[in-house]
Amino acid sequence: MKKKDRFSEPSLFILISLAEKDCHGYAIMEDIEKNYSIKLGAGTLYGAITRLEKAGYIQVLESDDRKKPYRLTDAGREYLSNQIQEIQAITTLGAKRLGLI
Amino acid sequence: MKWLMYLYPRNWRKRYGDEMNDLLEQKDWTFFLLIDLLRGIIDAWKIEINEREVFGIRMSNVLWLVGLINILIILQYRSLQEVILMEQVALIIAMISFFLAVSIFVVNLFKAGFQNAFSIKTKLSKMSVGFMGLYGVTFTVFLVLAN
Repeated sequence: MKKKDRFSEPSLFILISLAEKDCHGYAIMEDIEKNYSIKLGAGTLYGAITRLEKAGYIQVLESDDRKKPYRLTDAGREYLSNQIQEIQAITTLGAKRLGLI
Repeated sequence: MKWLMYLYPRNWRKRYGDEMNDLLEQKDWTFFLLIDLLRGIIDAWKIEINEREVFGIRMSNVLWLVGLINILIILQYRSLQEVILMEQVALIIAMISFFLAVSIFVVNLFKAGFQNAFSIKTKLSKMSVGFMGLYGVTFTVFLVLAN
């Protein structure tokens, strides 16, 4: 069985940011800070971007500017959908066991 | 603090250096940012070492092998139970220096090429020679103390 890629929380946040629109590094960082109140450092951000790009889940778009926008690829969209479904299954189970639903 | 960027692998700097510099210009320097960058440097090297190969063998495996050989050497001397603390300290420093010298040399071999790796033109080769020198000094100290 092929080993499933596992990415850290920041990687998922990056994929979620890019699911809406193409963004460059700084915009991704701002989006994460705004929506999750998490301050992502530049080292962590670009570490996650490197891994996601190597995995083929995001791609850089050509730009004359120093700021390079990133785009979610089809493989990235599929991976993110699977991850969100997994998280949903976990939260549903947790909520059931706590008697919340 | 921008000099920290030079601690990232060269390939990484070529690809992400400009973007990251641009991002850092828009942020205030904090202790958190410094620690995060240091973690990022380790992470980037981890990715680099896991991808590079030396004669078809992954570089991370080569580093593990070199580390293992060093541990075996240290354990061999420890088993004699004759060396005193100072000797052990000198030996450990010597072995760590040797490990770093070899590791940096191997990294430099791939970064700068075969010819440059055997010269002292690059920063990494200077570091490698420096660690080799430290190894020589501390190992001599160890031999003097042991005898």
